[in-house]
Amino acid sequence: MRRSPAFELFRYAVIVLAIAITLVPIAWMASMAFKPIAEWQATGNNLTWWPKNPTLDNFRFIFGESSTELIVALERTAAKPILASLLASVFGTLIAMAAGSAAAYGLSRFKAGGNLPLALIQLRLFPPMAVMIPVMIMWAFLKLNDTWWGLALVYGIVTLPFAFWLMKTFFDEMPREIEEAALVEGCSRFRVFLKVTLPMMAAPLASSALFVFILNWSDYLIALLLTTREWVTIPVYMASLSSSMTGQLYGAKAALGLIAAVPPIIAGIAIQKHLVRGLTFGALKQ
Amino acid sequence: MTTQNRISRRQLLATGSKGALVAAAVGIAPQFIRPGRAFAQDALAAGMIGGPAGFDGAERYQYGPDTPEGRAIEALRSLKGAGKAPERIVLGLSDGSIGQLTQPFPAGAPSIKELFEQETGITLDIVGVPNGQEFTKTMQDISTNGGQFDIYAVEWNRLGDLAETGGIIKMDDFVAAHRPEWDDPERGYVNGAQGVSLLNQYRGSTYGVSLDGDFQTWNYRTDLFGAAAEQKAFADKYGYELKPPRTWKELDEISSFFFRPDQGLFGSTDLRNQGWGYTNWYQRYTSMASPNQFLFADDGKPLINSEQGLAATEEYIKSLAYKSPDAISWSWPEQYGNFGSGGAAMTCAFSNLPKFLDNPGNSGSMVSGKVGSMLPPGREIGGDLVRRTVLWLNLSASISSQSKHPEAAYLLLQWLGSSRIYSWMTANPGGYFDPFQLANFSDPLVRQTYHDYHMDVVRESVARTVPSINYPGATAFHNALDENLVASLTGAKSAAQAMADTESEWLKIAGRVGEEKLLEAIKTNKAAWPTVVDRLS
Repeated sequence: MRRSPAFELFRYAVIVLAIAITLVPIAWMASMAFKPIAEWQATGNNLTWWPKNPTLDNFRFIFGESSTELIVALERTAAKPILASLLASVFGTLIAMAAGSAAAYGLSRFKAGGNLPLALIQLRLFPPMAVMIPVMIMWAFLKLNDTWWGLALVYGIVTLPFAFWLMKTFFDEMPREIEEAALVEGCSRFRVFLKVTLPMMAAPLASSALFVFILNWSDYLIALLLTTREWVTIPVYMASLSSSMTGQLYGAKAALGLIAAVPPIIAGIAIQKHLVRGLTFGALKQ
Repeated sequence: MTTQNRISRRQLLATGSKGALVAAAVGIAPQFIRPGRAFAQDALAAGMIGGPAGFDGAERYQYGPDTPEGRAIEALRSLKGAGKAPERIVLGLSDGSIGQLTQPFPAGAPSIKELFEQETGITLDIVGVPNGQEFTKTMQDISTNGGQFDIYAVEWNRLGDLAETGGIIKMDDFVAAHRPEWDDPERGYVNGAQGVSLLNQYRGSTYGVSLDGDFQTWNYRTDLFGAAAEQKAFADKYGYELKPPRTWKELDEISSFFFRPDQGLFGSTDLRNQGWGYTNWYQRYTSMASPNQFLFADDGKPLINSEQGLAATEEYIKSLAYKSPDAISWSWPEQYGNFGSGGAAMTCAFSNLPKFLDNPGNSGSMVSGKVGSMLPPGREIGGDLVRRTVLWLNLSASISSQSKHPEAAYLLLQWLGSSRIYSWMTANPGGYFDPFQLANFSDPLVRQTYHDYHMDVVRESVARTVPSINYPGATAFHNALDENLVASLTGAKSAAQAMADTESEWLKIAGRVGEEKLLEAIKTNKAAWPTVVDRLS
């Protein structure tokens, strides 16, 4: 059916508007990251979309090089918070994906676990903050506060339901006949899981892991409560970027934001092939 | 060539290496051999036992054995000698304040941290806490028995709430033993013992040591107020001279006059956001009667759901007209950033604003040399002018009940919070701690960084400052007021409804706190309210 030109125009207008709404904040952040202080503090008619005098000062500043314009030297640089975010998010993702995939496989194939799905979804029935006081007490007792591994463990637990439910959907969609054929050929159940099922699930695993990683990577509140100084993450560190000389250090925050956007983008590109397959996995019934 | 003159390969390498080492040392050493930052032992004035040295006027901050600082250091040395001192003291401090302890000031001086560690041999471990998260982090440490800090630094009016949790200790015995002399009439707190009671005590006992002077003060742009064209245009429009406002009516009119958003200029940027804005409501409300419009009657009845409360709230809402469209979300970083970029004609902020923004070293500031200070606006009542401002935030340090070395922690606070060290520290532009002791206001270094024009206004503002609520339940009382004021600013509630709802919530909180505790705390709090009123002429 041929669509009318007016409809096509409207369709493209909506698409362009959606893209603009999505990209403008990112473009603004990228622009801000390269602006000197006089430009990111500007208001009214002095506001500009693009830097008039592009500079790398904001990046130098967060990595500890004192800038004459920003005046205040930072008490800590962005290097360790970036490391903390990477460690906590990556290991949190590994924990969630390992436990979530195993549980999902067990339930999908053997109906094992009884009320496990309900128990897991309960973890998401209330905001994580609601349980943070008891978690903080336990973590203090276990000396896990202000450690990246303590944070990674909480991330793993909090994102476990996502990993479980995503992977269960994917396992349900996967034809059992392939596994059964391998069993008939004499493969053990574990070997079937390892050699047949997992390779076939590479795409769903990758897309689920990326989703879980982004959840962990962007967390602010849990990291704010569980870290103090040694292992604060990027969002917590970013919140501290202000000074009495300049107010909010928008340029420095934008520079850090730009850096923080890199790992999810790299991960997304690296698994792009799997991502498309993962997102459409099971969309076509055989 | 004789055998004796021959040099083996091994000898050649050894000699060469030695030579290279000597040459390198001679070459490199000058880079490290700099005039060291001076410590007390280097150049103390006669009779002094400690303090900084190495800069002009350093002797003002040195101390003898019979001073609060001297007694604190000697007691710490005694504890150290007896093996009863800790290896380190952990101080939790808002990120923005750390610089005042770690950055040397002025040139040639040691830092506060370096000096303390040099004089006592105890490491001062400062843990940064995100600005605005001080109370949350403290409560977190208390409720989880985290034991991460020896000393907490939180807003002064949370002392009651913290003391009630048992998370901080009473310092009375240490105060009696080491005599901090906070009420010294020459150098101590403003209003002597009454000032000490207000800032450091809860129900008659010492729970905190004030490390701040957050008397909210008003600033204006001298370039705008002094411009002939502006003066003429203002006089033509309003019929009186353009000068720093004396009343809230004048403030609102001048702010409206300067409200030019197309030029990036707002009238007055005193805050309206949740968490800070209500301090500016306080100023309008408490100046509604002479000498003061109180928040509670002596019998504990809230007084805000009244003609005065309604009028103050309506003014507060109307003032949004000359502020940024985002005013409800602006906190002090936005306020400081905006004022520094020349975005406002007037503002009310911490007393450190001129230190940071009227500062030639701050090349990002466009208002350096263009800032003036003024007393808070007020109201004409019975032929007098009642001007009131408010004490808000004001970091105060308390000792954790989980600290294994409370006496050493106290001695650090006595040293840090006494007038000599504190004057030196507050002059440092590296952080937020502001002057509040008599010695600070007259100290040349403090006056240099805070500016003479500002220090005199701050001192006069202190005399017109009302304390915010510091009763048990202070956090809940303020949250109730704050949430209702924000609701009135967003239009979710009318001014009348906001005051009625605040009163209702305050009554419930008062019931939870208990009448005996509350009435006693109200009485103590009221005793610290100012009595100064200005003459209209």
